[in-house]
Amino acid sequence: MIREITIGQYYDEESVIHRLDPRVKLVATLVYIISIFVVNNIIGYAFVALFLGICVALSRVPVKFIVKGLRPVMIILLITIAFNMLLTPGEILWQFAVFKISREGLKAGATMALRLTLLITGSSLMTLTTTPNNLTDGMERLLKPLTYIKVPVHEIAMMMSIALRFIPILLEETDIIMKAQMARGADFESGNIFKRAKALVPLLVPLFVSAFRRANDLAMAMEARCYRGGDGRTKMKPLKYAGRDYIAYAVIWLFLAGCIALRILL
Amino acid sequence: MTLEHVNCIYSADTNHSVHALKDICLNIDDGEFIGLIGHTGCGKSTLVQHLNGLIRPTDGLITYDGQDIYGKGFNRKELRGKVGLVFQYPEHQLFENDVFADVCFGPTNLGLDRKEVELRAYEALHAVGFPDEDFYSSPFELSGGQKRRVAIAGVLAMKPRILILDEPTAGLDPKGREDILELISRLHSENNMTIILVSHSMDDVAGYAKRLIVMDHGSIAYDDVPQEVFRNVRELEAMGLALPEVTYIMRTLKRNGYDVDDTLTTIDEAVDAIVDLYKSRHS
Amino acid sequence: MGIIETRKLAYEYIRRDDEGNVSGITRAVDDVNIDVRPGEFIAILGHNGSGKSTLAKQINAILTPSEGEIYVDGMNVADPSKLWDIRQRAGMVFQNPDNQIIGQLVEEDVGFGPENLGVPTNEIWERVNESLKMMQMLEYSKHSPNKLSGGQKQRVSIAGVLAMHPKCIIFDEPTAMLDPHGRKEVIRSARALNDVEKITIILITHYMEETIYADRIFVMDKGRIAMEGTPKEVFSQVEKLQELRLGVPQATLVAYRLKQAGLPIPDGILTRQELREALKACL
Repeated sequence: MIREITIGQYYDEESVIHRLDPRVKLVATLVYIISIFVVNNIIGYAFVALFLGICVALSRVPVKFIVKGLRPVMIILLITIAFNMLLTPGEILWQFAVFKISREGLKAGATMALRLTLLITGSSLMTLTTTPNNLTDGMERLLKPLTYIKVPVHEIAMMMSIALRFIPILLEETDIIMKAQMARGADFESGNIFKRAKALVPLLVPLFVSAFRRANDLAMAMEARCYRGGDGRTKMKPLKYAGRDYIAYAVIWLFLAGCIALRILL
Repeated sequence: MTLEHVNCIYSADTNHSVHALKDICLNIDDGEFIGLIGHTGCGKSTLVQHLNGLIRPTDGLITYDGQDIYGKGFNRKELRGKVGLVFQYPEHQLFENDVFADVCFGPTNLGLDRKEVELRAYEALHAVGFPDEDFYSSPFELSGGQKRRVAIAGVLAMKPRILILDEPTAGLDPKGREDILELISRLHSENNMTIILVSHSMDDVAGYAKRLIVMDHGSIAYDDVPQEVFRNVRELEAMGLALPEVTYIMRTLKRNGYDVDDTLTTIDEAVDAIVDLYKSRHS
Repeated sequence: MGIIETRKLAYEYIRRDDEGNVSGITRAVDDVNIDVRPGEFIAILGHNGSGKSTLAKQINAILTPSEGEIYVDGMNVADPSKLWDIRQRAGMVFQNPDNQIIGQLVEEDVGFGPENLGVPTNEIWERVNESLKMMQMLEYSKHSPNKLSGGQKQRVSIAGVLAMHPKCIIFDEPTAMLDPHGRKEVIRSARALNDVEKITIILITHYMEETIYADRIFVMDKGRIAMEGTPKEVFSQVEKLQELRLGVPQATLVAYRLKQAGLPIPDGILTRQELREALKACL
């Protein structure tokens, strides 16, 4: 059952966004995040939201999936908003005992909320339209220049993609070990924080031992299939830019230019 | 124990729902030796995890000694002490610094005092034939077969009334397999423990089980003595199961016109039967 | 010279105690001399701990011999400049189906080997499709390996090795973690590769039933070759095989016991069909 979980919640669909080269999407997400912090007025935010809305529509991913990404961070969102509202000094609009909400506070809170929402939904869109494998490939290509300063880009990308491949397997194993220890009377649910931490030992030790064993086996298998690092390797699915990727690059840079313009002019 | 109309559906509210157990009705009496057979994915592992309360059925009733195990006030933690479950590749759950400490884990969780815990661990390790001098070695330095014995001892130390073993011979070599099956048989005969042996191999179960439950796609297909179950060769093969090799040999002979019992399951029985046949023809 | 040849091969590993001092030396492989001809199907049998896996891992230089030499297709395994050629020539399929799959999609895993060899992109795809077709897994190209059965995963791994165009494939206990159905799938694939593609196969196993179609069998015990011969020759020595803790196939065992009881049964019975014929002749 656990193996059904898709990491990064990739949503399979045929759309122009899905077909974009992952490098474009990575760069676009970065630019998009920068743009969120560049704009600083209502029109600016509306512009960013509009851009996001168009991208979401183009991706054909149902809106509810995009919004799902917000749920885990809802708490952080609310805390951030609350802190901003309560701790920003300025003209006081409402007061109750120690708690004060100022006009500036309201503005800061709203701004923060808006920015975080835009940020999270935008990033969600990227992971929803790009497979984890594609992402690691894209990152590997983008960061290639770093190999000149001895950063092991290929190795890091390989590690990430192997980790992704094994996450469902390790999750399933965790479930089994937990059940096996529960069958011996282990209790993972009751007790204070210290008791519960101690109760994790019979879960973590076997899991680590197993993970190391797998890693050892996998290393042997990779070597047996002539893996010797990134040198001399060819790719089965090499990343190649297509026309739509260049258009996308143009669009994203124009978008950023637009945001900067809005900030300067308004 | 009894199971009445037990159903188990995973992810019932999504469109990936899996009806893992369908309307299971079973009685398990004291002292039985049951073989639970089925192809991979038929639900046998899911079923046994219901017996010690690890998985809760979507509906249906499970009772132990007449009490509903999900009834008010029923202590399911205690149940796990009475219904011991040894998972597949049980050696993967070993974690302590030494063998003895690991076997103590189970009884300690039952809340027994230290003396009782140590006594049980000692008895359990003896029961599985683990040598005294290795009691304090690290479990990670043992051979596969030894590790498995320690893991089984870990469950035995809880002194269960029912012992369920999920594929206890998985990954062992022939001698290792024989040793484990002998051990299980001894536990049954010496301690009158109820044994449920889960496997996908008829050969494992043939010589030992007095009752076979065959599962197929979440339901119980057959629940009877081995000889009766083996009459349904076509159906069993269609389920991806095979009869014990010895039974095939006897069936082949019978098909070729020899008057032999084609439901025999052990080599001893087969050899005796063929020798008798030979003697009767050549005397 | 054969495709694989070992001369006085030995492998030792040093056991250290907690302080790092040498506490003993184990000779896992001792004075092994094997000569495998191209296109042969060789089986290496032995109980767990007999040294068979240690031997296998020296053939493709995962382990380096402590003494003696191994030559793969004329290349000395100890020569570092030939390491990658040797591994391309002699591919290996391991025991754990999960722990040898690297790709997130079946086709990506099969392509891993050719990618490492620097094969151009077009050719990689040709090889991947060809190998998957040979293993009858082409329809699963775009599937995630997680959802496959054990037997299917092993077939994917075999395809992954095939895509490297090896001359010889070593199967290191490939069926130990599979159910009976999966075991059949894998052994059938190995035989087909040997019969049709003429690839040399070395099958390491502790299941005797899997070796009945081998050209030659080597039986290992305590790191040494204890028996050697054709399946018929090896299977006839039932007592010795039992001493070596091997599970003799049921048909062979029944034939042996009948012979002991005085029936005129020939030696070297491997299958139940042969047993039936022998019995027909004498009853």
